[in-house]
Amino acid sequence: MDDPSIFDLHYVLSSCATMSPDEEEELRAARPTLNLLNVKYEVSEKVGPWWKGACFRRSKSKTVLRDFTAQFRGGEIVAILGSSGSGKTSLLDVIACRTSGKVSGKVYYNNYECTKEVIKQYGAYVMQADRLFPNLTVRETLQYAAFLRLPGRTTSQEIESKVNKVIQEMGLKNVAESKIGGTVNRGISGGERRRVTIAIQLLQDPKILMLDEPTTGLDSYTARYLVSNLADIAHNSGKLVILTIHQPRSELFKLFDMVCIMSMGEQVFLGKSSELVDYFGQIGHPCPTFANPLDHYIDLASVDRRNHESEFDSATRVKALVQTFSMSEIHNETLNMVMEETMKPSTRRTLVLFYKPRPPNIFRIINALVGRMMVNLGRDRTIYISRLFLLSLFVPFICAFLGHMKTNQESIQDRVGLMYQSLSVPPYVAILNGVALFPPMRDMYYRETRDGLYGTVAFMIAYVLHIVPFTLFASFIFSIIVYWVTGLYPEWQRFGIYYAVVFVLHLVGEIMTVGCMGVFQNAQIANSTITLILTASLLFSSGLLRSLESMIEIFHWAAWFTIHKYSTEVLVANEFHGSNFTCATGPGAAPCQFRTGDEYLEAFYPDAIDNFYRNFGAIAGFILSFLTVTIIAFKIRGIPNLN
Amino acid sequence: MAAGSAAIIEETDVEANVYAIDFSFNQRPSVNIGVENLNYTVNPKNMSVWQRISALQFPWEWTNDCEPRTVLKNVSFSVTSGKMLAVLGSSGSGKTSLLDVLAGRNDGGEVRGEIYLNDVARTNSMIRSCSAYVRQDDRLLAHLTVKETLMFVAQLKLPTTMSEKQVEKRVDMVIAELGLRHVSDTKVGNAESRGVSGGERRRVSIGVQLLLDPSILFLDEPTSGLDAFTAHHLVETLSKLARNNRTVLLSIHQPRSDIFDLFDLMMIMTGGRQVYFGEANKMVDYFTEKGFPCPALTNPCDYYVDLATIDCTSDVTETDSTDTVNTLIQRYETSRQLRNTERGLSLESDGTSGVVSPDEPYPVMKMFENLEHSPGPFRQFSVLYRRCTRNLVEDYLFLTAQFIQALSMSVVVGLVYFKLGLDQNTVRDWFGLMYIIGAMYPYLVILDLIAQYHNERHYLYYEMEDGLYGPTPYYFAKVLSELPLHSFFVVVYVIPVFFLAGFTVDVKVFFQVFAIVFLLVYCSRSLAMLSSALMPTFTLSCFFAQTFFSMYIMSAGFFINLENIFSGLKWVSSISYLKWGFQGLCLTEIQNLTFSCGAVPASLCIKTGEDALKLYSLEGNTVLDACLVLLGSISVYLVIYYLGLRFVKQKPHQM
Repeated sequence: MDDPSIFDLHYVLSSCATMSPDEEEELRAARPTLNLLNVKYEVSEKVGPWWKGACFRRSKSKTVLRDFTAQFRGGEIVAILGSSGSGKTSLLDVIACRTSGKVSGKVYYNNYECTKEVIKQYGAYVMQADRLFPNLTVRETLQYAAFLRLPGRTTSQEIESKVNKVIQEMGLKNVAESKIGGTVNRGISGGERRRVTIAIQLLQDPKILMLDEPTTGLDSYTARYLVSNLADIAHNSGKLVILTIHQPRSELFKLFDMVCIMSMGEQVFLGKSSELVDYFGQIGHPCPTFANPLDHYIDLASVDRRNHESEFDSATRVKALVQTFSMSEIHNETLNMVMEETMKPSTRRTLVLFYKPRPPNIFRIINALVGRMMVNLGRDRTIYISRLFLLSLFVPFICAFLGHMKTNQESIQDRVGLMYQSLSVPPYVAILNGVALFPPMRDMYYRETRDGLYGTVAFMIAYVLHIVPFTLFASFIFSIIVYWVTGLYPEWQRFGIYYAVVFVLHLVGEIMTVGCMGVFQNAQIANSTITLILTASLLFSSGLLRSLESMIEIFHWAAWFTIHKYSTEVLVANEFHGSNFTCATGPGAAPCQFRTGDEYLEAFYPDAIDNFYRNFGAIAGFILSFLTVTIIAFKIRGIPNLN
Repeated sequence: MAAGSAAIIEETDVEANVYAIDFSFNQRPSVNIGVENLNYTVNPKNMSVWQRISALQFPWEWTNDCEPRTVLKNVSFSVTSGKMLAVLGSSGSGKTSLLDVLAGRNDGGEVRGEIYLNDVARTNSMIRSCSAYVRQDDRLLAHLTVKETLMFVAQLKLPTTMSEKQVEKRVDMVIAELGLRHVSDTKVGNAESRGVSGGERRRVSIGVQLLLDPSILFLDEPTSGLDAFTAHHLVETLSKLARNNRTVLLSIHQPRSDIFDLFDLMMIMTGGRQVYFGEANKMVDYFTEKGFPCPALTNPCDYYVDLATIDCTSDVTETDSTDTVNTLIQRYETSRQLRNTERGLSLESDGTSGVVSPDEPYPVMKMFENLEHSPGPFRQFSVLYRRCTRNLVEDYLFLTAQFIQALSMSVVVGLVYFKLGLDQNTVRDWFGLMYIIGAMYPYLVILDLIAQYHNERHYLYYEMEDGLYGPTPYYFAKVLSELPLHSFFVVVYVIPVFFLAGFTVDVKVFFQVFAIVFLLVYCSRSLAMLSSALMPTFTLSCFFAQTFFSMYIMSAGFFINLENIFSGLKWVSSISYLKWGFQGLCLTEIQNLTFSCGAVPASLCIKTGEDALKLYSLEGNTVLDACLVLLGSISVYLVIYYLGLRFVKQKPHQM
C-alpha cells in the first residue's frame, strides 16, 4: 500500500478535516510520550595492532544496550544514572537516532516510530562539550543560532522575543551582553557557557530535550542551579527532559521525576524517583539513613574492576539486580503501558503534530553564517591581522634579494624566478591561514549539520564569501609592492592581471586546504598533503623549472588539470609580451638568446598569447571547481564521531 | 635497604591484601606544612612579552592598567604529616590558586605571607624536591599504553636500588589500585586516535604522581570526571597514603558524604578567604555553634559550600548570600583569633618548642637533599630515549604520512626530470633538479616538525617542572631517537629520485648525494627544533622558521644568480645552508658531466660541468667544504635549540 507521507501538509490537513475531536488524542498532542520497547544496540570495533591491517584485525562486537524498555512522558525530567561505560550515552544516541551500530527493538514518539526526521523536528540533543565562537556575545550567539534554526518566515521581532525568552528561561540575563570567551581571553563562566549551549537548543522549542552529562565540570552549586532550571522547563512547558548524569547530589534527587539506573547496558531500576528507595528496600538493599540514595545505588550497580575477585563478585551482584528488576512489578507495569500505548491504533489527529515547518532558505542561512564568521573574526586581532598581512611578510624577501630588475639577458632568469615565487607563495601562505583558522569553524559546522541546520554547500559558500574581502586585500598589498618595486612590465592594466592571478591563487590555496581538512581531521596531515599537491603541481605544470615538452608524456596530460599551467601562461604572457631585452656587447659577454620577450614566449610558451583569455577563464573556473571538490570531499567524508 | 624493602613486599603478598600499594618501604621524610597569613595577588592582564607578541598586541598597549586581583587573602592553616586536607569551595574561590602557590607552581603574581615546611620557611626548590602535583588537565603521551606510561615514569623516578621486577610490581600495584587493569595495554590516545576514556586518562595522571610517592602530594580536583565508585576508592587510597607519613592536600568540589568521612582536615573557601579550617568531623559542630545548623538528610559539604557561595541569580539572592558569606568570614576570623591567643599562651608555657638546637643549624634542610639513589642523567637519558622512540614508532598515522610524503615527493621530482639528457637545453634543468631536491623536501619537513614539536610541549613543560628529568637528558634523547627515522626517510627520498632522474650510477656519487641530502634535511630539522623551542605559539614558530627559510632559499643561487644578489645581502648566501646544499649537489653530479653541443655554435656552447658551474657562479668550493658548512650549521642550530630548551620556559599554548 502506498503510505502517504506525514510531512505532506495537504494530506495531513485533508485527513484532519474528517476527524472528530478526541480528548485523549488532544492530551497526547500536548504531552508527548516516548516509548522504548526491547531496544538492543550493538557496536563493533576493530582491535589489535595497526600493522595487521584493516582486514586482519579482529572485529569485536559489544552490546552496549540490552532489552531496554521504558516509557517517558512529557512534563517530566528523567535522569539516567550509572557509572562510566554503563550505556547512558548510548541510550541517548539511540533515542536521537545518532547510532553507528546495529539497533533492534522499537522507539516510538507518541505512537509513531521515531525516525531521524521526527527526532530532528521534535528533539534536541545537547552534547557534552561546548563549542561556541569565543568572540561573540551571548545574545549574538543566540541571535545567529535563531536565524539558522527558526522557520524561514520568522521576522526579526519574533526572533528578538524568542531570544529574550530563552535568555530569561536559562537565567542568562546578567551575561547577555558579555563575550563567550576562550582559553586566552576569559569570558563567561563554564556554567554559563553550558547554559548558552542548552539555550541554543531550546530556541526551536523541542518537545524532547536530551542532555549528555550536562553537569560535568560544573561545581555543585552551578550544577544544582542548572538541573533545577531544566526541571522548571520540563514542568512548565510540558517538554520531556532526559539527562545522563554521574555523581548526582542528594538535592538533585528530589528534582527528578523519573530515575533510571543502568549498569553494563542493562536496567537495574527504572521508575518514579519516589519509588526508588522503596524498591531497593524491598529487594533487600535498604539505603543507609544519612547517605545519598543515588550514590548508594549507583555504587551497588557498579562493577569493581580493581581485581578479579571483586570484579566477579560485583558482576554477579549486578546480574542478580538486573534479573530481579526484570521480574519486578514496576518493570511489568512499564512493559504493559508501553505495549498498550504502541499497539493503540493511531487516529489521524496525531499526524498534525508532524507538520514540518519550512526551514529558512539558503540566502538567509548564508547571510547568518557569514555575519557570524565576520563578527567572530573582526573581534580577534590574531585572526584578522594574519589574514590581512601574513602574505605581505614575504614581500621584503622577494624585493630585497631581487631589487629592481634590469632589462639585460640575465634579467630573464630573474623574471622567471619572480614568476615562480608569485605562483608559489600565495597558496602556501593560504595553507598556513587555513590550517590555523579553519578548525573551530569545522567543529561548529559538524555540530550544526548534525542538528540538521544547514548543508555543506551553504557552509562552504559562506566560508569562501567571508574570506574573499581579506584575500582581496592581502593579495593587493602583496602584488602592488612586488610588481612595482621589482619593475615588472610598467602598465596598470597588466598589473591588474597580475593582481587577479595572485588573488585567485591565494583563494584557491585556502579552498584546497579546507577541502583537505574535510578529509583529514589531523591538521598536520592535511597541511603536508596539500603542500605536497601544490608543490607537485607547480613542478610539472608551470614549466618554469623544466619546459613542458621535455617532460614525459603523462605530465602533458596531467598539466591540463592543474591551475598552475594556466596561471603560469597568463603571468608569462602578461610580462614578456611586447618587452625588449638588451644584449651585452664585447668579448666574454653572455650569449644573446632572446632580444624580445616574444621570442622567449615563442620558445617556451608558444600558445600563451593566443590562449590568454581562455587561460584567464580557466583560472576563474578553477575557483568553482575546487569549491565543488571541497563540498564533495566534505559530503563523502561525512561527520566524524564527535564524542 | 633494597633487601629490606623486598622483604616487606613479600610480606604484604602473603597477607590477603595483594592489590594494595605498599607505601611504607620507601623511606621519605615526613613534612609538615604551616601557612600563615598567605596573600596572593595576580594582575589578570599581566602577560609576558612573548604572550603579548603572540596576542599581536602593539607596544603602546603593553600597560598593566588593570587593578591587581586578590586571589587569596589571609589564609592560615597547618597540616601535619599523616593528615589529609581537603579544600572545598565553588569555582573561583581560590582552591587551585592556593595549591599552585603552595606547590610553588604559581605563574607570576605576588605572594605575601609565610609558608613553612617543618617550621623552616620554604623555598621553591625545597618544596619541589619533596612534593608532587596532580594537575587538573592530563598531559600524557598519546601513543603509549597505560602500562608503558607508568613504567617509563617509574624508571625515571624510582630509586635505582629497585630491581626491574620490583619496579614493574609497583606499577602493577598502582594500576590495580586505580582500577586500570582492564585498560593497562590500551593506548592513552588523544583527540584523533581513540584510547582510554577521559576518567581513565585522569587516573593515569594520578597514577604517574602516585608512583613518585613524595612526602607531600597536591591534587587539584582529583575526583572530577570519575564516577562515584572510583572517586571513593581514589580518596581512600590517598587517605591510606596520608596515614603513612605523607601530607596530602587536595581540592575538591562535590565530595560525596562517604568521601567526606575520609578527610582528616577540611577547609572551606570563598572568594579567596577561609570560612572554615579545622578537623572534618568538627565542621558541623562549628557551624551549628555559629548559628548555621545542617539540615537532616543533607550532605554537610554540599550544604556549607552552597552557604558560602554568592548566588547571583537575582539581586535579592545576591545581597542575601553576600551577607551570609560575610558573616561566615567574620565569625571564622574571630574564632581563629581566639584560638591563636590560646595557642600563644600554651606555647609560652611550653617554652622550648620553637628553638633549634645549635649543633644542627638546619637539620630539616638535610631532609630535602635526600635524593637517595635517584636515577642519574644517563639512566634518565636511556629511559627517555626508549620512550621517545616508542612514542614515535607507535604514531603510525604520522609515520605513514611522512613516508608517503617522502616517497611521493621523490617520485614526482624523479618523473619531472625523468632520464635527464646531456644536451645544451638540459644544462638549466640539471641545476633545477639539484635545487628542487635540496629545497622542496626540507620545506615540507620544517612545517611537519614544528607542529609535532609544539604538541610535545604539552607534557614536556610540566614534566620538567615536576623535576622528572632535566633538559640535557631530554635533549640528547630527543636528538638521538629521531636519527634512525630521519635516516630512513632520507633513504626513501633519495633512492627513487636518484635512479629516475638518471644520476651517474656510481657508489661514490650516490653516497655523496645521500650525505648532502641527509645533512640538508637534518639542518631543516634542527631549524624546526630551535624555532619551536624559542617561539611561544605555533604560528609564530612557523613564521620564524619560514623567515629564515625564505631568506636562505632566495639566496641559494638558483633563481637569482649569486653574482646578482644585492651586495649588502651577500653574507646571507654564505650562511645559507640551502645554498651550500645546492652547491654541494651540483659539485657532486654536474661537475663530472660533459654536455653535447648539437647545433649551438661553439662560442655559446657549454661543454663541461665546470663551465656550467661558472654560469651559476657555483665554482670554487669542494663537496667536503659544503658538508663541513652544513655540519657547522647543524651544530649551531642544535646549540641554540639546547639553549632555548634550557632557558626559555615555554608554557604549552593553544595552536
